[in-house]
Amino acid sequence: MLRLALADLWHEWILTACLMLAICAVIAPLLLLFGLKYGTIETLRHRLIQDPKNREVRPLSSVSHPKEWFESMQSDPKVAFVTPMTRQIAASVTMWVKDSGPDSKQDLDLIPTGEGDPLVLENGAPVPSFGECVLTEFAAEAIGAAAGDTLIMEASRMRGSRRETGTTELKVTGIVSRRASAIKAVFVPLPLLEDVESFKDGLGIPALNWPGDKPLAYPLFDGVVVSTATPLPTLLQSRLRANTGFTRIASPAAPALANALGYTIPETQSNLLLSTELRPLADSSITAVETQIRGYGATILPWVRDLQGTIQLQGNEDSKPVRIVSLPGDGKRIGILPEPPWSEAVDEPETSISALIHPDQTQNAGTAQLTLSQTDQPLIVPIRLIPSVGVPADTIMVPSRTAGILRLATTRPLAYDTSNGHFLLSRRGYAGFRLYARALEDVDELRRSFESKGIPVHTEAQRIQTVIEMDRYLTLIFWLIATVGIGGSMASLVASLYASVERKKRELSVLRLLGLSGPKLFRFPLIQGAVIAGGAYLLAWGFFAAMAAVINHLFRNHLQTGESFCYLPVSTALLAGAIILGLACLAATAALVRLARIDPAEALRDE
Amino acid sequence: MPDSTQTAPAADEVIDLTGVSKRREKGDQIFELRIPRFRIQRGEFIAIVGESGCGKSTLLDMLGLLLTPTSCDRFRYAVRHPQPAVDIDRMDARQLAAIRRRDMGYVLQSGGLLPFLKVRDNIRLPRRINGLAPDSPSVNRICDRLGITGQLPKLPAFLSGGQRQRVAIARALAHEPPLVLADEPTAAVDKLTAREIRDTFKELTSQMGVTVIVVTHDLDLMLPVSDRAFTFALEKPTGSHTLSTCIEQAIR
Repeated sequence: MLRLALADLWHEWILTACLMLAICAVIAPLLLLFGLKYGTIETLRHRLIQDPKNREVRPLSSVSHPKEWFESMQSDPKVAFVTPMTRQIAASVTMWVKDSGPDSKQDLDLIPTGEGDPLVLENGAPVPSFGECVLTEFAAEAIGAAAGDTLIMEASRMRGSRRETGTTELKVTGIVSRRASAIKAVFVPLPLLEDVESFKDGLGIPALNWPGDKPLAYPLFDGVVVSTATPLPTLLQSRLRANTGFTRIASPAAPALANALGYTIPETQSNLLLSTELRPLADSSITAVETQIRGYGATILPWVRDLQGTIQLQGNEDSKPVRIVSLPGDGKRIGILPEPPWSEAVDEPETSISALIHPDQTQNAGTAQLTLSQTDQPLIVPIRLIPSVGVPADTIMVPSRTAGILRLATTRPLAYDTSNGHFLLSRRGYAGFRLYARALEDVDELRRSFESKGIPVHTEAQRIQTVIEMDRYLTLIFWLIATVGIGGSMASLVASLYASVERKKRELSVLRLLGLSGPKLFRFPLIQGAVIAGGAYLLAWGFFAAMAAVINHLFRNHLQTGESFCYLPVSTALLAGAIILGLACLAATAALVRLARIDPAEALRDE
Repeated sequence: MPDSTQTAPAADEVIDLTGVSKRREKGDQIFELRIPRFRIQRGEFIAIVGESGCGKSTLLDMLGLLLTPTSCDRFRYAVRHPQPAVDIDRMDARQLAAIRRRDMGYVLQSGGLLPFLKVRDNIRLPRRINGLAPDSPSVNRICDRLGITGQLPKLPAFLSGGQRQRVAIARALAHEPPLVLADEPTAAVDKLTAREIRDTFKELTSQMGVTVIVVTHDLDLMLPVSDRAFTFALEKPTGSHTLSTCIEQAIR
């Protein structure tokens, strides 16, 4: 039967080819349509929906967030990636390709990155480690760099009228594709960005051999006591509030003053308490006061308000809360009690801090650890305890300068360098962040959570919604077109095969006459239908492959690796083939059933 | 002649149609074919003669088991010799197809050859369908006798009308059936060729002992070789009713 069917097809090969071409002509555009749907729409969809930029949550204001905040954000399951950002102004550097020399120099922005940064990873570049960087396509074009090149990065600052620079080498490990960023920017690890920021703030970076200051901590005070043997003139008193930063002036009674200060001033003295209500003030304010009262023989006693901490004695597990009192060394001159054993020499750090303590609270002079209570990050300082009569219980008294620095520690993080006794300024926090949600759906939830915490953020929520809706409509439109196309093709396929069986009426009748019946007879048109449809399908497939190659070639500039505009998954192709073959058989059967009902004798004699 | 109304058929009777009728309606026109008695002995050469529209093709299709009668008293075949006679009206389509395949050969008006098969394959087709070896000495002899051995590798389209009819005869005899039905086998050729074909056909079938029923409108051509002939008597009882009765015609 197979031989018969094939012989017939071969005999009429022109007609067979025509049929195949006719069916091919209706299948091929459909395949192409499907290919474009899969290719274009999936590509667009992938780009729009999967683009990490759409998952970004951007802060609108520059609220400072401490390091811990970032750690807690990173552990949020909705957050794929978060990195702190330095101040934008501090992120601008000059770069050039080492081999081309400084002539190719360009001003570029640094963007902090880190492990798992989707903007870098999903745009075809590895995350750079320290000493490496990743460029945006625009930056790479601007300075003419390619992956593997070595760049020189130059950070600069103005000191007075002098321009100072610090340079370091960076190896380009990758270039992110255009969609990642439309600016000329360089992705670097966060620590490098912090170094650049510090350098611009005037500090030195020993690791990079950049010169500059150490970030030494400075004291802050809430007020000063101006103590004189005789009361100051009223006019002068009011001048003390002008240009000093202190806003309040009072002459409290002795007990109240002693209560506020923590120590007592002899009653023969007349005292003015200058204070500030809002921010504590730095040394310069005290200097300003000193200038005003020069010549009056006044003693200036710096004061800090309510400083709390805990001390832990060596060899003792328990820590006890204490009040920390500023005991100015200068007070010796007017005989304050208890008498400070120190003088307030500036810039003379000690490897541990001296503190007076009530004799009952320590058996012997020894060392202890002081932990300041009012800080975000714990600041632990070694202290040397000096038992002293006249110190109230649960109180330690420290030099004014130390107290002032501890006061600073309540406003921003400090670190204590035990090797040289310096208090150093730690990073205060970060001006901003780059944050990416794990999935599109998480974006809006993150936005709400940020806004409930008072952090206004910008998201692509509106755009995401548009994309999702557009995707839905495009898919709907596609299916509408496809339904019409599929309907038409099927009708054409069925009609073609039906007609071909009809045309075979005579041959089929002869075969029937020769004694072929039932299933055997059915196989003849079935095989022919399958062969024609199969051939047409293969032809259409070839046509599709050629067109797809052309389309993909034409649009290659707009495509990223792994993307194609026109593409059909194998499973869909096989399904399409199966549907076409099934339809062909159905059409042949339908034609046969009708044939079987007509009188065979008529078919034999219809000429 | 023995009484044919008896239930026991004569020993070598291959076909027995008694009281068969076929009714066809087309619009308000009714055509009815009645066959009171149609009995054929083995090896007979029978001519069925009539004008067009008298029902001779209908009779042939019934004999070829392509049409079933509207009613019948007896429709019995005993073509395969050692096997008992069978009542056709009790058989299903598959069994009928088996009889057609095995026991009958057909010569159609214009050959009825499959245009996509070479002459050789057309002749082999009934043998293949019956599961026989494609070639046999008797087939070769038939082809020789018909003078178509040289045409075997050709496609039917390249043959003349006469050659095509000869091939059709060869195909009808290829699987050596006991019964051959021929429908106007010489209608499409000229008189001289028709006579040649007729003679060869007659010679081959009588040599092989085949029973032949030929439908023709050309009584003069077929009568000389026929053992018996049947024809039709037409009546019109009403304006829309045509009644045709098949009767035997005396020819000698």
